[in-house]
Amino acid sequence: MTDTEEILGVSNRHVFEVANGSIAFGGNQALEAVSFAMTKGQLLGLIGPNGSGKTTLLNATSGIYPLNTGVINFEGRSIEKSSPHEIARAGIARTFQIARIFPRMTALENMLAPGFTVRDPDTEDRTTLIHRAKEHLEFLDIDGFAHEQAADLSGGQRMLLQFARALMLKPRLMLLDEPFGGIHPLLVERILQRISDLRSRGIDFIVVSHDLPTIMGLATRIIVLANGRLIADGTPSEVREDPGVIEAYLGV
Amino acid sequence: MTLFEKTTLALALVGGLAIPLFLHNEPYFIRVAASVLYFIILSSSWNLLLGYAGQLSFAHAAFAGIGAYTSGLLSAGFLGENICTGLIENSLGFVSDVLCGEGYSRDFRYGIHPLIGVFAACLVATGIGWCLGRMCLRTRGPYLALMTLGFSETVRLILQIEHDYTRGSLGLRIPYLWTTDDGLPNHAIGYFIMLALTVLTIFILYRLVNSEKGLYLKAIREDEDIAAVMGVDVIKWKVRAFVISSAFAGLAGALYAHLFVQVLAPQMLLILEMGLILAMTIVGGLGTLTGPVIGAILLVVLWEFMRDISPYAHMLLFATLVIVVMKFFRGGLFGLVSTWLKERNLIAKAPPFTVD
Repeated sequence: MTDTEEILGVSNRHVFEVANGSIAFGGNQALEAVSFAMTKGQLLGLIGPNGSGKTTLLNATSGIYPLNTGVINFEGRSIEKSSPHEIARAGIARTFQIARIFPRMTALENMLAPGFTVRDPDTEDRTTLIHRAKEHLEFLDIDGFAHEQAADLSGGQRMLLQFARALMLKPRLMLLDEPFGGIHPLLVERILQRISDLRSRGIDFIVVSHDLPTIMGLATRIIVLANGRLIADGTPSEVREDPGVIEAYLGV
Repeated sequence: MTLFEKTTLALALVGGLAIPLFLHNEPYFIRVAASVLYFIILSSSWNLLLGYAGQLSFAHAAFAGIGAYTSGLLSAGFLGENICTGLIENSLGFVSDVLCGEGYSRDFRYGIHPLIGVFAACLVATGIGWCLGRMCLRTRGPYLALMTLGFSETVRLILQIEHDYTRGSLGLRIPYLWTTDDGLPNHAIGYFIMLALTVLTIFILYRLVNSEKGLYLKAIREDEDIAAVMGVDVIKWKVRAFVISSAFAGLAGALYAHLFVQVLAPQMLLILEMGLILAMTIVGGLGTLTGPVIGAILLVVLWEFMRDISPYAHMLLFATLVIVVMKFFRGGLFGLVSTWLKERNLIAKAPPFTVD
């Protein structure tokens, strides 16, 4: 590996990497030359004050706002110019801070729409797909709503539904934006348990959260953003000690 | 499908087939019935756009008009006399002679057979639908509505102004597809052809919306960004829905023109005509297959009763109905009934994707 590659962090041994990612909305620099790389098996916690660019980074990754400059690689392929549906089918799924479900579709239909987009008709028939969707719903305790309009679900149930829906894409990388917001503690346990199941099956996670105790306990590595810049990158204990982080985020 | 649904469907089909048997001496009633069918096809296919994919297009009547005029101009031979007499006479006219025997109609001797015209109309509507869809469907919400409105008025004005080719507001006389021995249109056969097209339209739409394609369209209706993030190729499916609905509109416009309308006028592309399609779909029930059928039957019948009052009285009533429906029961008439039917398990709650 050459020096330049080392500095940019662009190489194939990383499963996911952002190099020099920048986005500006008008005069507002939402992301400024953010670079980091993630190896297989990591669970990356993304923290930072409000407006620091965490969600923008997820949006850039999933293709909603393309980067102005910079590169995003996933499994060795550059995806920063791909459209959202191509990125989704390539194996990156995500959830949103405010649950965005399809309200006038049943919970099951919510699950099946992404399920069908990545279905391989040779290996999975419709019945298997529907069963898989129902299993996910069952695990998160919302299978009772399978045939009800998703609009009838409560806020917390919507969060669970969008988590389950993202799983239907059979992702290898999941981007979770505040997955624990407004969910009953017992169900948070469920989600954590599912996350650890999925990690043992080789799925990587980037989790944005303001729930510091949970994210510090969960993540193997933490990245801190402030004003669109990456200000710290390390294990939870390293980040907790970092004076820059304490000033920008944890401190007053 | 539940037993109730099957019975209703069978009764509707039998009723549809029986109409000409009872009314074969009443051309007026058959014409009204045929116009019901015409509007069922138009509002059902428009419903695919607004009710399922959530795309508000005002160009649907224009596509019916494009279909009718494409076929009309080709088969009336008007283009032939004006621009390429030789070509039309020698090649296309030859085809008509082969199909229909020589001198099948002296008036339209430069034209091609209406049946070929109808296929051409469907192709042209599909093609223009694809081009317009590719152009407009990258935009969202009000922009799509405005662009299609602009398109529809442009087409209408071209047809009205270019009277050298289209005879403008004077009207373009076109050949009938099916005539009785005395040269008058055969209403019963015309009605059966329209009925067949209606059944075909609804069957194709049924297959479409109850497949995964229907799920993609509904996901796009609910939230385009999320649909894309969930792997749905939003532009592709929006364009496909637009093309399918334009193709049905073009086909219906052309067939109806050749079966029941002797003189085409650009008025069939008026925004009022679009208003009728909109009112039928919304009053019947947006986003359901049954809704537009109920809406078209009800509104055409009401329209016939109101003809004596004043030419535009029906539009007043329909506009009011649309406002009332949008304000008080968005599901339309079928929405009202379907809740009641679902409670009694007469119609399936979530038909397509259930596994026992």
